[in-house]
Amino acid sequence: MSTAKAFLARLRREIETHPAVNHLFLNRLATSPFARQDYRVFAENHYPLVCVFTHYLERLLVRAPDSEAKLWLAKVLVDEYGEGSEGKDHSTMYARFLSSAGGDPAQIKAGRVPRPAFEFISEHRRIVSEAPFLEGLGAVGPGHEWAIPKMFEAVIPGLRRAGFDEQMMAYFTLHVEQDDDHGNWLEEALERYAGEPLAQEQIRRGALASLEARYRFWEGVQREIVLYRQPRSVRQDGALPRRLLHEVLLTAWDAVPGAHRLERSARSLRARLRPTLTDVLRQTHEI
Amino acid sequence: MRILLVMPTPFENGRLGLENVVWLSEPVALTSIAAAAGAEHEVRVLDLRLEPEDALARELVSFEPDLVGTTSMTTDVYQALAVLRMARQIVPKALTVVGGHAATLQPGVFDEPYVDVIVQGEGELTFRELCDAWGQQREQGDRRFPAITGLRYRDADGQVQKNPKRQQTKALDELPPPNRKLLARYKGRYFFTVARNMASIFTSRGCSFDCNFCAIWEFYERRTRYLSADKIVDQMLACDEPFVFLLDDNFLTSKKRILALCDELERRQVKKFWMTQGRTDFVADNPEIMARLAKNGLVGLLSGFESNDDDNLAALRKKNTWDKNIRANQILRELGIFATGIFMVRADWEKHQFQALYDYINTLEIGIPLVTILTPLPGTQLYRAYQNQLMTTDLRLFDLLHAVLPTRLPREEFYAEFARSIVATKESAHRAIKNTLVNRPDFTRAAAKNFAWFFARTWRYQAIHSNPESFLRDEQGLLNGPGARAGLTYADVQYPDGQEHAPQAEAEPNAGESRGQLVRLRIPHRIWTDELPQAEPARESAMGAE
Repeated sequence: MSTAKAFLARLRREIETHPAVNHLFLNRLATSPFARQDYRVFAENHYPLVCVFTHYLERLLVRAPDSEAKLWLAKVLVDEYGEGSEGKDHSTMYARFLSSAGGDPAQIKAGRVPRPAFEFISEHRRIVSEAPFLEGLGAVGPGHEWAIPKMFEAVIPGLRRAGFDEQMMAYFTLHVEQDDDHGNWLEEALERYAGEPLAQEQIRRGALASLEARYRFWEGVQREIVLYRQPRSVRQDGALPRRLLHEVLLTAWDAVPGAHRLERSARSLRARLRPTLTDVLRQTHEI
Repeated sequence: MRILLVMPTPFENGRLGLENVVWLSEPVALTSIAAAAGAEHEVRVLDLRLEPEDALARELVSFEPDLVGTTSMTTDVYQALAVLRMARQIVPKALTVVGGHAATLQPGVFDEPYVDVIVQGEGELTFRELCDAWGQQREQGDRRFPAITGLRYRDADGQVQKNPKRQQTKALDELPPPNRKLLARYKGRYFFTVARNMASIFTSRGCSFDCNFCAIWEFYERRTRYLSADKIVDQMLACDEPFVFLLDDNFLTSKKRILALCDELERRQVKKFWMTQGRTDFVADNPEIMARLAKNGLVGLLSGFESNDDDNLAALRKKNTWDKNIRANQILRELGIFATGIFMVRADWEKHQFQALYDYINTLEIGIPLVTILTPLPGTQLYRAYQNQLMTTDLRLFDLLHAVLPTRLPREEFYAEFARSIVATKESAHRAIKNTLVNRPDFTRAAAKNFAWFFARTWRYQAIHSNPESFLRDEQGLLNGPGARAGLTYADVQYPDGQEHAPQAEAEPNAGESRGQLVRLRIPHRIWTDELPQAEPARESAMGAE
């Protein structure tokens, strides 16, 4: 096996076993009967990612050093645009899913981008604009194309269980099939670049940065669903036990009359600092 | 061989639930089978209740286990499945195994392609044999285990094969003690109320009573088996922790064995504070034994008081009375034993019944009155009686905090009554806490540093529990789903009245009439659901309909 092939095989394995791709939240979606209301929250958070994705590719296309890379990016872009056929571009397909879950795509576009999505988008905008080209390729290439089919395989059974029909969930089923193609095209394209240790390092760094952002994104989406169900959640301590002082201060804060109203206002103020999805799309175009 | 045993979280982090607030005990089921697996294997235990969400994926990648096992109670089923699904994704060559209560009593919910083996019943010996067999077969990837009793597995065609049931181990002393060293990294994290830095052990298994809302006796086939007094004390002394929870299903059974344990505790001068679970009728009938237990370190008792109504207790086949509950509470109070009492409201209750229960609790001195909702848990007689009258089959809602049967009051009002249980019973709690502080100064001193910590957590939990919206939002979109019967009302549900097994009720028409229509609840001779031919189709339709 050539050095590039061996590296790509290792990277593929690393991606497929990454905590972001196998997040417990995704496995929970596969095994637990979440309701349409939960999927609405899921979709409202996920929709901005779908809308913005093509802009990463466009940005990389501009920065691509040669025609081989440009060709691969263009092929994927054509697929993402839905080859011009109306209603088949990916954000439109996702909007259909969002609507069937009870959400309103127009409202999401006009509204502030939810925090988990905003952080994910910001990190990817940074990678495709500021990091070396191969890092960007690692992020949108292996970091997406090798990860998405596996992640969506976990999402699909839950959607079926919640009563979404094949048309409503077409975005997800398409990506399990289509991204396998993208992944294979990508592997061919990457083989050209991945022969040198520095290039390998850049591709891997980009892929892992994307996956770390994805991990935080799934954490955030799960948190949003829990908060939707229980606006005053238990605030479990998880991995690290809180210190007594922290525990007491937290409780004292919770006991302050109007504390939760204040928290909500602060959240809403923080949200106002984030752009709307329409702004994000415009800014990304401008970049 | 490398073995990873995983304790799943009970729900997604942050959701409503008593676990992590009032009680978090060691995963003894896992440390027990870890000990049984044998020293030749490298075993790790991962307690996801105390880990970040990425811990499992990282452990699977770094440890590369040959076998991944998990355990499950009813509410954890989806989480246990998620654990095994993830294991199959990351280490596809590893054998995936589930055991425990839910796997035994509703194995059908684990019939998934990524679950290789379901261990039913007591797991130690089955697991030991499974590890040996897999050690020899894993190179060939042969996941068939036709010779091991007590398990189900998938054959090469994906068909589920059910092996014969395993006989229970007769003497618990023959089993190795749980391997608590595997929990070293979680030391100090387990607790029951203010008893933090707590160890957990068991001294008996099973219960000889046959309450129709409980599946413990069905799991253990209505037998109780005991660890000998010296083995119990060996285990207690092996714990560094000042507090020990004896996880027995019903500790207060054999007087002879309790007295033997007291002798042994005294002979070996054990100075531990310990808590356990037991029935109030034993307490009421044996005050002198309770006094001796208190003298030997018993500081807390968790009991099912269940109801303020003898008819209701009879309906639950509790074989106990209101008077005995009151007498038991008085004895516990006098001895300074902190009482945690479980009570049940019913979905068909009206407002005055809630109030009557809360008033009753306030006449007692229960430190933590846990008011729950009577729930037909899978594996119980109640479940078999009501499986066609459920409003949901989402097992997360079978957590005793949600009404899975139709309520008589509008659900908003039902939960409004239920939600005020903590506030409405605080009088009882305050008196009990004060009493324990005064009467058990040694325990008070030992646990003092945890008081602020515990009260902070429970205060926050109370704020959530006291809001009916917490329950309503939790069940939004999850009622009337697959497997549930649409359009049910409370009038469709006939509650048992305890006379189901009394032939004289039929012979005396007047007695029958006064108690309304009877529900026939059968006590099976053979127990687990999949061994009951007539229970199988109903279970599949109700629980396996995803």
